[in-house]
Amino acid sequence: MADILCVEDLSVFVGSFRLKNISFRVSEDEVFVILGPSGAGKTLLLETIAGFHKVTGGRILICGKDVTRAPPYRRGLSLIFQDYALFPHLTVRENILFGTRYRSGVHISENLSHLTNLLEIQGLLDRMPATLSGGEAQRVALARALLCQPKVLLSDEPFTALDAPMRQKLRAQFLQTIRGLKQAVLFVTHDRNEAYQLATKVAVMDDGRILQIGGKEEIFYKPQSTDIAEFLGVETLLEGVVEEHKDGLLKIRVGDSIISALGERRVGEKVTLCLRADRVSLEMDEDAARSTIRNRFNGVVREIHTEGPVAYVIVDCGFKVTAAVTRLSVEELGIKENSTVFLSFKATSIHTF
Amino acid sequence: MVKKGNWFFLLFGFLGGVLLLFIILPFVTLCSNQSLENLVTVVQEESVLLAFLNSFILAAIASFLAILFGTPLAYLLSRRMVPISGFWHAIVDLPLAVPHSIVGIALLFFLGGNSIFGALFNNIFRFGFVGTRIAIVAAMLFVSLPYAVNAAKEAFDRISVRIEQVAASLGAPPASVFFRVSLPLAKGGISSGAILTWARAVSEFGAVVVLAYHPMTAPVKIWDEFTTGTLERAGAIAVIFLFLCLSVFIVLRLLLRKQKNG
Amino acid sequence: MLRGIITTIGILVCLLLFFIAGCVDSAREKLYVFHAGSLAQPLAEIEKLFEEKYPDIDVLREVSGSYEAVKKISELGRYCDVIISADYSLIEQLLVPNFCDWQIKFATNSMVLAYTKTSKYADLINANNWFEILQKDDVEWGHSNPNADPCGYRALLVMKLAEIHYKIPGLYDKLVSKRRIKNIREKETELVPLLKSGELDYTFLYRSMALQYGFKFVDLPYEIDLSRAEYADRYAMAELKLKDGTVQKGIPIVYGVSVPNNAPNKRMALEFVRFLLIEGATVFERFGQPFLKKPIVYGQGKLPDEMKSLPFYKEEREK
Repeated sequence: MADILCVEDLSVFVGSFRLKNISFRVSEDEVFVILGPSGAGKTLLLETIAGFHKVTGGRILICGKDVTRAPPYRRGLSLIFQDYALFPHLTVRENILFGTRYRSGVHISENLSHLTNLLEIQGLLDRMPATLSGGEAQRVALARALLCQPKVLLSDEPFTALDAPMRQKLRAQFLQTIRGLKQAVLFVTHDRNEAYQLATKVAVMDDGRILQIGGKEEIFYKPQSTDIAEFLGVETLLEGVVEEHKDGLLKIRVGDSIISALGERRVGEKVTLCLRADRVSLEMDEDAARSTIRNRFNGVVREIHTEGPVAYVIVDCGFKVTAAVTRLSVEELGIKENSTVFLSFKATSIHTF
Repeated sequence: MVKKGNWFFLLFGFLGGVLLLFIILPFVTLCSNQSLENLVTVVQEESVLLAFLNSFILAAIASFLAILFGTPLAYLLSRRMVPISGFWHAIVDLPLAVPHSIVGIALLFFLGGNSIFGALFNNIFRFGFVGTRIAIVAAMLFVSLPYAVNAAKEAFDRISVRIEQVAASLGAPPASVFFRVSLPLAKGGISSGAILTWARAVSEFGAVVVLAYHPMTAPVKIWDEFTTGTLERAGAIAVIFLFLCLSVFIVLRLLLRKQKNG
Repeated sequence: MLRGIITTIGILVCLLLFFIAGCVDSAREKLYVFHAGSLAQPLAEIEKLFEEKYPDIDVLREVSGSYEAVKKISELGRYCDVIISADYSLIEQLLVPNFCDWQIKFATNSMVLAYTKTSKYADLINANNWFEILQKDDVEWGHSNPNADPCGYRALLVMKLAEIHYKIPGLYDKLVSKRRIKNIREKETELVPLLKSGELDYTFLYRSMALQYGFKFVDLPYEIDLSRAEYADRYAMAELKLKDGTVQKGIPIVYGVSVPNNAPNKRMALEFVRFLLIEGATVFERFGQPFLKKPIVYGQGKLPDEMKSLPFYKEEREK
């Protein structure tokens, strides 16, 4: 697949904000998510790619063309924002059709009905933006951005201002729409769940730098530093020392226990282990745990907290591990604080760095 | 309205009322001192009507020019597209702080017969700049342009930059962004500023009288009558002028409100 | 869209009216006359008569203190066709020779103390006690600005001459100390409404103006009222230094008229002066301001030919 957007070694200074040596590529039909905390510089990056800031170093290429010095109106990109930024003095229809004046060869009426049907906003076309709800407004903004078939759709946390049910609905609709159009998207967010739901590729960003880029699974299950891991919500992080290394299998000492993992590391190397809670099995009964799994420990439940339908159970096995269990299971198995439980997790579930 | 027993709003109402009375009472006194027959006589005089016409139309022209040149400047200042924009903004506000007669004298020195500019004007157009309607418009423009620029700038300030950015990203070059997005959204503020600009221009005396005693605008005519000792006539002309200005003001404001809501 | 069209049409109509109004006015030739405030009433009448005789001429008068009028020409670079000063010496000192070559002195006046029947001590005041009444604390009196208006410095000279005439040393300083700054106005005509409304009890004014505006007045002794040429030596005993350094000596009040060298409309300007001197005599008489029996010419050598044909003038040696 060809690269639609190519950012090379980009550096920007704006006031006290900076971007340092940012590099990444976005292919067509890809949803590239930039995930990072507030203040990381995500919005600045998006604005720079759109052309609103002067670049102090590096290049931006769109479909192979260097647009680093090109003005925003010549880059062929579209933007959607958290605050929708609809033109308040124009109707919904006029908003959506705004860009058609500048791009020829766009089949306006077909695209318009197709898009408005897809986003379920056909009935709103003659309304004024001030009369729309948050969800309606964001869908209009999306239609406006997509009508002119931008090379990349730049999205700056567009769903953050909406309430939770609306956010879910809109994310689903968004995904459906852009997949239907095979639209390349550069999406910025601080919400890791949103990132996981929407992304094909993820770049983790903080303090003006890209910390790690990779496919969704790779990023979420194989973070490359403690900071990233914590930001991504990896529940269990352990420090250990490699004791044995044979045929790609590692035995790592953590406290008094040995944990098996896969990887190429030298003996004596200090490593950090990552283990996601959804990769940990929890049983009340020792025998119920499958014996083929290398890592089996017993421990005492220290804490349970529930988030929606999931209960996170923190177990002390000599080191602390968090396991994710459904609330139903907690009730049925009778898991309580100070209960003794049996944990197991595969060696392949451990990621080391 | 004032809540019963709520001392805070009563106090505010009192203070505001004092101010309103301060404006209204002198005018009421002025009006009540006029005799009806005096008013009727004066309003039919050609020189008086001509003075009114001069004032209203020349002020309108000055306002038009203020807006034509001031709106682009306001846009540049609002979007910080000029270096040290704070400094230039202060320059724009300068006419507000300068005593009016000094404005007149400064313009006289700059454009009068002895100056380079004035002599050039003289040679090209074969008439002096001083004592013409053009000079009056210049004086009016000078003192009223801060109102036009400030109103436009505030109107542009209220437009979020995001909206302009979106327009640009959709393919609109800067001129398009201005005419399709920024200007329509700023129109209300600019129009409101235009009314203030006109009001300021129409009431200008100190600068106008130095540059152009003739042709007479209404304030100059009133002053002329006053200083040649016919105070009653001066008062009569003043009262009529006042009512005319008030009427224009009210009509313009109503039109503006209709435009905003309609 | 429609609004845009309406606005544009409105603007075009305005501009059109502007030019029309300009054209209507400039169909007539303009004649600019700078003159003293005290001549406002008689000159308004003369303007009317002149425009009746010459309908194509528009006389545009600018009223100010004579000093200010002269300075407009000498310092601000303003152009005018005719300048009439309440004090001929101003034209002589400040406009000759750079701006004017000649001057015709044509009318006189005298200083009086004007008042109304509601002024304090109105029934008591006369030529012998006015200076005592002015010193009373409850009396408000004033005069015009000596630095802008001859009527102002003449008032002060009258007070200086009074000190000499009534033989009261220190009278001038006493009077000045009793005069309040707020009662000094830019030109003599501004004192008129103040006196009428009762803001002032007394003001120094020209006799002609007192008559024109219907005030009562105290006729001051000839020795001090600056009206008689015979007393010129007496008048010269008083001297006043103005803010810009010039010194005004006491001289009889004589009005002067001139046409500056750079007058835009010289032909009609000279005609206006002619009109003023001949037909104007009766008008001025009616307004209580008598002309000199014979106008006196200063700078006669440079007098334009049109002026030379006037029925009477007397030569005067150039200073």
